[in-house]
Amino acid sequence: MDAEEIAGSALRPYTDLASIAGGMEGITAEEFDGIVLANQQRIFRVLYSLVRDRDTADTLTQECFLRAYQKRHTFRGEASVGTWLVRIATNLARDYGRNRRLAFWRRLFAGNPDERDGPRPLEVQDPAPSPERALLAREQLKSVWAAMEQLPRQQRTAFSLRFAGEMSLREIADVMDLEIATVKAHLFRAVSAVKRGVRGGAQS
Amino acid sequence: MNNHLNDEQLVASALGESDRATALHLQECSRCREDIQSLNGAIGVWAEDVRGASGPSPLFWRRQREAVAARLERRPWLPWKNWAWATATLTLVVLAAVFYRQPAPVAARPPVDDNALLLSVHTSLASEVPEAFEPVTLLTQEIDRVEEIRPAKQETTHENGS
Repeated sequence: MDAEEIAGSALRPYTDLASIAGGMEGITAEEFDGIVLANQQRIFRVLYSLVRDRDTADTLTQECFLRAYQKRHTFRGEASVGTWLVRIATNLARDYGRNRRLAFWRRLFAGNPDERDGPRPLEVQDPAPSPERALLAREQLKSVWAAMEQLPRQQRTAFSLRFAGEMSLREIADVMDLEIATVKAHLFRAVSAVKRGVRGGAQS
Repeated sequence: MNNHLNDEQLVASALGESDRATALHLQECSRCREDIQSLNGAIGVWAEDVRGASGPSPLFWRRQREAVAARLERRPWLPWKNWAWATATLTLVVLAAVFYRQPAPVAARPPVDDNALLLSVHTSLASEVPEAFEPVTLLTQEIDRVEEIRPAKQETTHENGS
């Protein structure tokens, strides 16, 4: 399959296939590959925004689809396939975060100071042509990531789903198993924190 | 303009939840417009960074799909594995239930009546010999009785013989 075919296939609405709406028990390998194709970019974006590591996001994206295939008999079509996949992905990111925290404490007690440092330096792509705008963008990006890392898990997840996953409030509520009003509250707090971060970054 | 948008209104606007009054205010107030543009810009830069992390090449996605397919082939889902585990666990539970021996119940001692206890203590104290020697006492009493009977018999025999 070449690049054009991939780009074209990605637009096919696999997430709303009638055959999948009632369950995925008898899905063929080809149909499942179509689901991967239609959802991998969003899953990857959501995971990357939560773990902030490209390789980890790639691995977790693959794991997300493997889990989905293994648990396909549990999908009953109450939510869309896309929402169901994002739910699996956010659970994976949560588990990864727990394991990473455990690894941090293990490293700390093992006394390896080289690995106690904070997150890796930002590798910011140049989003604007002029040096001033590039600098501003770098500062903004740094502020948003810094604010994101301070957010409680649910606020961070809601923020990621909204702005990285480009999901509606209803979809976020389905993924997080929350009321829409609660999702709004989490998003409001998250964006407020980001706003404070951006403002603080601009003043310093 | 004195009444600028507060943080709540600015955030609501960034989330696309602003009301008509906020929208009208943003049209007129350049300061608030800059504020909201700064926030939206920062979030936009972040979202762009997230999008850019995967790289522009469709090969990345292709490689990822191939990796998923390969891992699915390598690790086919075996639904019977769950049943195997469930069966093994159930067997263990049944075996444990069958072979588990309950310890013999300890016979409950009858409750001690206080009056009976006091009476037995009193009897024991009033007795001339300790309780442990009572069988010996009974034996000596028996011997004495036999000794008393024997001379009486002998006297009777002598009288008959004479």
